[in-house]
Amino acid sequence: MKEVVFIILFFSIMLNFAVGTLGEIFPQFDATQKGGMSYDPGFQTEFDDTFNQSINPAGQVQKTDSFLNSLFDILGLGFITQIFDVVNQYAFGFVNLLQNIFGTYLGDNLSTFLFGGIKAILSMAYAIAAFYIFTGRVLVEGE
Amino acid sequence: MADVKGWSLLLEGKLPHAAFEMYNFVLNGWVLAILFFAFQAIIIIKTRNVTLAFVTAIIFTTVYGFSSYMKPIVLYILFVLMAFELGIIFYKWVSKK
Repeated sequence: MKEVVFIILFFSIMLNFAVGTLGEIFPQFDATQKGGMSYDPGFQTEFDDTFNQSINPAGQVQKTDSFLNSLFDILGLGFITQIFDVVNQYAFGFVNLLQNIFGTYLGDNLSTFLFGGIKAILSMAYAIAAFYIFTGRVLVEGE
Repeated sequence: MADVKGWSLLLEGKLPHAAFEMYNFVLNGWVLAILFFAFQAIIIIKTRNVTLAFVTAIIFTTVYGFSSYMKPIVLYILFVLMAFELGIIFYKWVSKK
């Protein structure tokens, strides 16, 4: 099973690269034709804005409208949520693409149930594969 | 017989244009898309060469993809198809299979 997990993870990352490359090749494709998978300009603006600003002293909290985001920044949880966003984009990008393509025909509840279940199964497979990488032991018998 | 699609073209001797007009009217504007997807399926089944299929898809999209012959839903299918093909190309390229 671990080979299948690595293939899915690797193919998801390659699919992200493919969608980004296609969006650059044909700019005429608008966002609705990309299945929800597109190049995120937030990375670029974050990069540019970071290098355009003056140097701030350490410990300064980023001012946002949401009190929750400020609290997350203080506690260091905002960093973790960003990591979860990246994991969601790359590890589950293939499922997200399928959900964006077929989810509109299924309705909200069924779509969330079906693709959320796929994500749950896939995350268990990821956990088993990560355990195999770190320890070298196969958890599931019969492989 | 003035209402028949492509009949005047047929009487003028423009056979391919007349056939295109008739089939395009019958298939509700999907004739180019159906021909192209059949072409892609033939390429993938007979040659098993995803790079060839992707290059032909790029040429088709460049020439016909954004013309008035295409319905917008075809572009959606085309983008997903090309993304999968390019993803397979990247995957084979990186994983050396």
